[in-house]
Amino acid sequence: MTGSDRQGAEGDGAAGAPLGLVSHIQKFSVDDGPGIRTTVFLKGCNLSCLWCHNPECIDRHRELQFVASLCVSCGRCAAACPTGALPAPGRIEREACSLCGACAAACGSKALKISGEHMPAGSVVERLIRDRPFFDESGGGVTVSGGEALLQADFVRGLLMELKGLGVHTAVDTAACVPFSSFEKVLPYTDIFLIDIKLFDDGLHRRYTGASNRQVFENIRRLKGSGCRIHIRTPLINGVNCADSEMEGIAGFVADSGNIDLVELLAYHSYGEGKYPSLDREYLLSGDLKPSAEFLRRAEAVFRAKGIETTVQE
Amino acid sequence: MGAVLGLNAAGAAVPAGPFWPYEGGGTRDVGMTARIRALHETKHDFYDRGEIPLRDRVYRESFKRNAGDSLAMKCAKAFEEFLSAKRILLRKDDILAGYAYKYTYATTCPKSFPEDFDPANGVPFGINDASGEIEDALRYFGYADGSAESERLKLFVPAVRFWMYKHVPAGHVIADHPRILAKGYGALQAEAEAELERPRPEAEKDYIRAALISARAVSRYILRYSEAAGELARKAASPQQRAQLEKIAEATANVAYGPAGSFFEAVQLVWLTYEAIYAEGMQNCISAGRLDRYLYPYYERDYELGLIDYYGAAETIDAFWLKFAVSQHTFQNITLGGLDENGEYTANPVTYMALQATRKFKDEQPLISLRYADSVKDDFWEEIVATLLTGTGFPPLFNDRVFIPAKERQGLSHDDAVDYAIVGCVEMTGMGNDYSDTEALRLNIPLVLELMLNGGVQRASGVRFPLKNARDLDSIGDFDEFYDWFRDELRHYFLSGIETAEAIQAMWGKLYPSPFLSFTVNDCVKKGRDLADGGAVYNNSTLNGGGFANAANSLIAIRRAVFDEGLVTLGEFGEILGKNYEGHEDFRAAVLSYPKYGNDDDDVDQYVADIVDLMHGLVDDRVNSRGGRYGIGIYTVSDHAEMGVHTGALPDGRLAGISLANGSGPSQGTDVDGPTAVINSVVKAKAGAVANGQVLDLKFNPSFLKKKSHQAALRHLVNSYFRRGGGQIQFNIIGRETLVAAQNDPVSYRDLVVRVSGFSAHFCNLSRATQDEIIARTEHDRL
Repeated sequence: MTGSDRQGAEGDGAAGAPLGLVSHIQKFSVDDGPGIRTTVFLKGCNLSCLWCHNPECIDRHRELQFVASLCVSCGRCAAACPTGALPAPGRIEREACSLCGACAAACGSKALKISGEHMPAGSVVERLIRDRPFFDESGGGVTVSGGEALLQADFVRGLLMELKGLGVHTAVDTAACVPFSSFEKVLPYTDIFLIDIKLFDDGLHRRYTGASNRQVFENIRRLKGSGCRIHIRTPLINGVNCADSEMEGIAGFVADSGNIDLVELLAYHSYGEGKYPSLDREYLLSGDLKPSAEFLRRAEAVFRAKGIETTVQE
Repeated sequence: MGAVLGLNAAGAAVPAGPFWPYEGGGTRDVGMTARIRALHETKHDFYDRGEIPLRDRVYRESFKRNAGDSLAMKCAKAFEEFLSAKRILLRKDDILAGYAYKYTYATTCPKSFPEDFDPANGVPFGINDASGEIEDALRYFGYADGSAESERLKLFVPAVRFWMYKHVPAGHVIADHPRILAKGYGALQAEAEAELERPRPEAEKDYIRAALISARAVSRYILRYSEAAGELARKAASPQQRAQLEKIAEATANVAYGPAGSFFEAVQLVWLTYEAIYAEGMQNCISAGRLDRYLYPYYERDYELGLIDYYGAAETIDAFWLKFAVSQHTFQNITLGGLDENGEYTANPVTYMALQATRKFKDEQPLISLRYADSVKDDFWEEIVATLLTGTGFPPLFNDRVFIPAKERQGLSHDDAVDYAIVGCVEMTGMGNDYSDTEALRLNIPLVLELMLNGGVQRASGVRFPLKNARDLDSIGDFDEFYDWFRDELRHYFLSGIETAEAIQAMWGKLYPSPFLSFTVNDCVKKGRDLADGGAVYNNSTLNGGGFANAANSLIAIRRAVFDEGLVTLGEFGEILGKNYEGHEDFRAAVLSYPKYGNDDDDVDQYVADIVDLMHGLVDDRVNSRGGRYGIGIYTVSDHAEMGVHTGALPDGRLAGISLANGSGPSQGTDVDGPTAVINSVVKAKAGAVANGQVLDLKFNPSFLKKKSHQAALRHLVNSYFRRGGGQIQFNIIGRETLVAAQNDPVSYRDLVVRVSGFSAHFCNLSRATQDEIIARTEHDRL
């Protein structure tokens, strides 16, 4: 681990270049833009979408994660902890925790881990570039995601600049609830933006994500002059946005935009839910959240009717 | 499902259907015809349980009667007598003639079976028993009791029993089906007679006579099917049945001596040649070679003559598949696709029939293997993916751009190398001209580390396999010194095994002739020699390894824990392994945290590359006793599980008894960075020079491959891997939940077939150790 405890998202590297707070790096990502990609997940988000499937990327600081199902209750973590933040295996007193990582190092079953690592762009690139043969073969590349990647726009700019210098295709996956100045920092080095439109109705957007969606639409409009291509990603969550009016609204906006190549409709999956307890977070959604097959078909038809290229991920 | 066609009065399919319904894209799953379904459902019900004891008796009595003859001649005469005494099995609803029920893992010559032997109950032999061969070799070489040679040979028996070595003698051959189909047995027999006219040593003439007796016996045996079919036709229950039986009668009458005159006759003759090879030697891993390539001209001609269409031919292929399906454990491999002599990728309608047959039945036999090049067309890739999605593990993909040059380097002519085919699991040999003894030797590589750290004694068996240099562990000053010692001991155990395997091969060539199998392989008749005695055109040998990842992970663990960090001394490490890490859980946690092969980390991956280099260094210039060259194999069949059972705790943190890594893949569950990282690790070793096969097994959930973009990504993954010298890749498309459920409730999952290593098998028939190993392999899911 580099960086001091409780360091903010954009720490400074040795030569003044910003460090990124990286949650994890996922190779063979085949749903985050074209081809085979490696996705860098950055930690820290300014939204609080109730269905978030990467809750470990919400907090802007390093975090201790504990997966109860892997714990064998050996007690080595408690013995290793210098601050007494682990009175019993897996019971974390987060106030007392200094995030030193001694417990995670002692954990043989890998139930405990520190999520988030401060890294300079150079060492991230070093790891990304190893899959270069797969990028070249498949027309893939690197996607920066999160969390909200553009909260670390200076770091992302440096990272993408290096990658473009090496001729690697780049994508930024963003919820776009950030000032356009953040986009401007990464624009010259980004081939594709993957932008979420989670909800069309602003009231609902505020209710489910904690922020207005006006900035999202504004940013997409302003990107028009940049020449960057855009893919829109819309999660479909039953009881949240599975309504014809939502689909019509988003499709209408996309059809008018002129710089959007593709819409990906992503059916809700519960994969993220299991991660909430590991962070002592509460999962607030409940009920049948998966959209019906019938709705998926209808939603796709709405987009296709407007001549929009659309994919559905069930 | 396409239109199912009836038969006309002459028994030919009504030629109304298409030549190739899928040309230009798209794949559909063709169902089974009613009579195929009936054969499929009852495929295990029809066999002669008295057949193997009968063979046993006939051979013994015949050998006694012909005591004065040469061994090859005795084998030929006994084979001839057996084929005329054997019951002819034919059902009224048969589509093709011929049955070979579970002849497996036995070897040539008389082998003693109990009188109540029932092949439906499995076979009474273990593959890990080399005692018979060693006895024969000691007798053949006349080594004095107590001599160094005799001791070395005798040590091979426990080494094989306790899985330090894996060794399977013989088998692994592809007959020259294209030549048999084109010329027919009559013309081939005439060629052999002409060979007899040339001046040559009496021993060669005797061998050719033996081969001729065998081949003539096979022709007469095929005629017995014709008579039986004719008789059965008179009792047929329906006109359709009668027509089919008459078709069989006519075809078998034609191909007993003549060339194949139609697609149906070609398929019939391939199977009957197969059946005769089994009846002669019960050889294992007899494979069919490039079936789609050599059957296609017959299909094309019949279609042009208006005799057949796609669906009719597909039904014949289905019936052919069912012949293999009942013979469960003999690794009968069929090779599909691949580059032709002009470097063009070829897949034809028969290729599609074959892939679809595998999809329909989901049986573990026959194995199919697909020769792959990046020039495969999109629609053919769809057909491959549709087959992968059945979850049977078929087809594994083999890289033509690696294996064609690898076979050339091993001495095959360019044309023969281009025509290579898969034999057994994943090994490659020439078509109808090669005897490469592909499973002659596999060393349990991490066991060498166990022996070094335990004074030469295997922990699981307590048997001593003497080290070349037993050393005081704590006198070793640095890792380089340890590593040099490891390389030296590794060479020592490889070489002892090679020398013993060569001795067995030399004995085998003289004591276990198979004149009929040799008749089907070039140039045995021309040379007047058995194929195991240097009669084939190519007479290569093989050297295989198992547990590469475990060895690499263990080496870096020793380097870090003992020499870099000083957590324990080397002697203490050995003692901790003896206790299976009990009471040393903290230390084990430290060891588990070290880098592991399969995550694209050069620091550990270098050791696998180095071990592969060492193997090449041992054998690249070595010439075996039959004048052949060596090929390296980085695949483990299912031996990694068995070797694991017999290997104690290892320095990489793996506990005693757990499976070793499969083929050239990572140790189970230690690859945490996905398939691209695994591939990056694997290509660091010179897999491209591996002439005897490689296995890289990746596991995907079925949901992953449903999306078109994911199917494309998989293809890019393969292409990138192959472009960088990867040799083979295979996919288990199966969910972990399914496997666990099958383990707990085998009855409900009897049909579940998974790809194990070089083969696919019914999951519920596998040992618990192998089942656990498959479940433990990291799933590339969560995408």
